[in-house]
Amino acid sequence: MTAAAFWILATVFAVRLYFVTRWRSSTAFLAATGVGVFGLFTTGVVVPEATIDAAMGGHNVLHLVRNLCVTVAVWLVREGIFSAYSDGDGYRRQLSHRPAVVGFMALAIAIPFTFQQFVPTTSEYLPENLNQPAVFIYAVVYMGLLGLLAMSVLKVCLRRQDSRPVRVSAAVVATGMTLIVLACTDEILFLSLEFVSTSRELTGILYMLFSPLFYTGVLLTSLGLGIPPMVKAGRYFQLQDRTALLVLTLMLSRSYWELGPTTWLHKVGESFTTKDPSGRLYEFMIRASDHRIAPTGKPTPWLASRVLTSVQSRFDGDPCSLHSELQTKAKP
Amino acid sequence: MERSSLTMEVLKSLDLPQYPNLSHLVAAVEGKYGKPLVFEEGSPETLGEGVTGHWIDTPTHGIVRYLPGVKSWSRHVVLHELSHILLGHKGKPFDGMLSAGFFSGVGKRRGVSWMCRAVDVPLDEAEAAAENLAFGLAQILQSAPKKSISKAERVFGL
Repeated sequence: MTAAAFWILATVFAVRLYFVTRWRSSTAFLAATGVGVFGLFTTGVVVPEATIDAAMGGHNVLHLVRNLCVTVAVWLVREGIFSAYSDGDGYRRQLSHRPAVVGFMALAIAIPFTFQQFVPTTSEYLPENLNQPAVFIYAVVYMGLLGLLAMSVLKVCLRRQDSRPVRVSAAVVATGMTLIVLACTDEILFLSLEFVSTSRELTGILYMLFSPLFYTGVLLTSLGLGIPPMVKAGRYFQLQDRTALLVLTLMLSRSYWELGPTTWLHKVGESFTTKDPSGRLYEFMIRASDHRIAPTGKPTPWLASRVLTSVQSRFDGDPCSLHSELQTKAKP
Repeated sequence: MERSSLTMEVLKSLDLPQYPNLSHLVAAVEGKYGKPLVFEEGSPETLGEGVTGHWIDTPTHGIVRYLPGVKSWSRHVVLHELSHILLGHKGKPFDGMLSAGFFSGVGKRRGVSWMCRAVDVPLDEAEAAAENLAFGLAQILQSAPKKSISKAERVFGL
C-alpha cells in the first residue's frame, strides 16, 4: 500500500512538474506532491528505514522528519484547494493560511520529540516508546494537527464545483482525507489507551487499523490530485479519438476494404501517430457509414458497430435534425 | 484526408463567420451559385442503389437530395453535393440519362444536369475533388471556440 502510494505520488509529481513548467499549474499541489513523495520515501519503500535513519544519527529522527513532511504536504494540498475554490486571495489573510502557521505546527510537533530519551533505530518506535510522556505528546499533537488539517481539506473539497474533472478530483481527495481523519482519530485513541495501559486486545486492533486507513487515504489523495493532469493529457493527445480510430481500424479496415496485412498494420500504426486523430476518425466514420449502405457491404461486428455509433453521435453535434437545420436560413 | 490546394482555395473564397454552422454555409453556397437551393430527403428508389445523394441543377434552382441516415453522415452527403456547386462542376446533362425515374419531379427540360455520390464506384477526378472539399467543409463546421478554463480548473491542472 505504502509502495503503491509512493510510486503513484512520484508519477503525479513528475507529471505536475511538467504541467507547472508548461502550463503554469498550481505550485502548491506540486510542492505538496513533492514533499509527500519525500515523506513516503522515508517509509523505506526504496531505501530501508534503518539506513536513512542511520544517516540522520540513528535515533528515530526519521520518524519526526516523515511526520513533518506529511503535515506540510497536507497543508499545501489545503492551500492548493483553497486557492482553486476561492475567487480572490482574501482567504490568505486568515491565520491558518499563513506560511508561519506551518512553522508553528512543525515546532509544536518537534519540541516534545526533542524531550524524549532517545533510543536506537526501531521499526516499532511508537509502541515501544509510548511510556515516555514526551513521545506520547509528540504523537498526539502530530495526529491532532494532521486530523484538523485533513478535516479542513475535506470541508473545502465538498464545496460546489461546476467543472466535472475538478469535482471528481475533489471527491477522491475528500475520500482520502476522510480516511486520514479516521486514521488520526484511531491513532489518538490507540496512543491514549496504550499510554494508560488498558486492554491490549483493543489497542492491538486500533494499532492494526491505522496503516490501512492512513495509507489508503494517502493513496486516494495522490490519485485525486493526479486526475486533472490525466484528463488534460487525454485531451491534449486526443486519446478518446485515437482509441476509437484504433478499434475501428483493427476491426473493420480488413473486412470492409480487404486491406493487405502490411497496409492494415500501417493504418493501425497511424492511429497512434496521426497529428489529426479527430479528422481521421471523421473520415473513417464517413467511409464506414458509406460501406454499410453499399450493396456489397460486409457485416459489422457488434463492438465495432457500438464504437461507430458513438463516433457518429460525437460528430452529429446539434441535436436538431438535419432536415430542420437545412431549412433554417442564416441571418445576414 | 489532406486538404488539396483547390479545397484550400475554395474555403478561403467563402465569406464565412469564424465558427460557421450549416445555415451559414448554405447561404454562402447559394450566394456563389446565384440560385436558391432546395433540400430533400431521398430514398434508394429515388436516388438509385448505392447512391447516397445527388444534386440536380435546373435553370431556376438547385435540388440537393440526400439519403436520410445518421445525421453526421447525411450532412456529409449534403456537403459533398454543395462542394460540386462550389467547385463549379457542370454535371451530366439530364437528357443523356437513361434511367431517370428519380428525375420525375424535375421534368424533362433542357438545361437540367445532375451529379450523384455513389458509394460503390471508384471516384473520378470531379468526385474526388468534391469529397476532398466536403471533408474540408466538415472540418470548418466542427470547429468551435476553445472553452475558457476556470481558476479551479487551472489550479487543479486542467
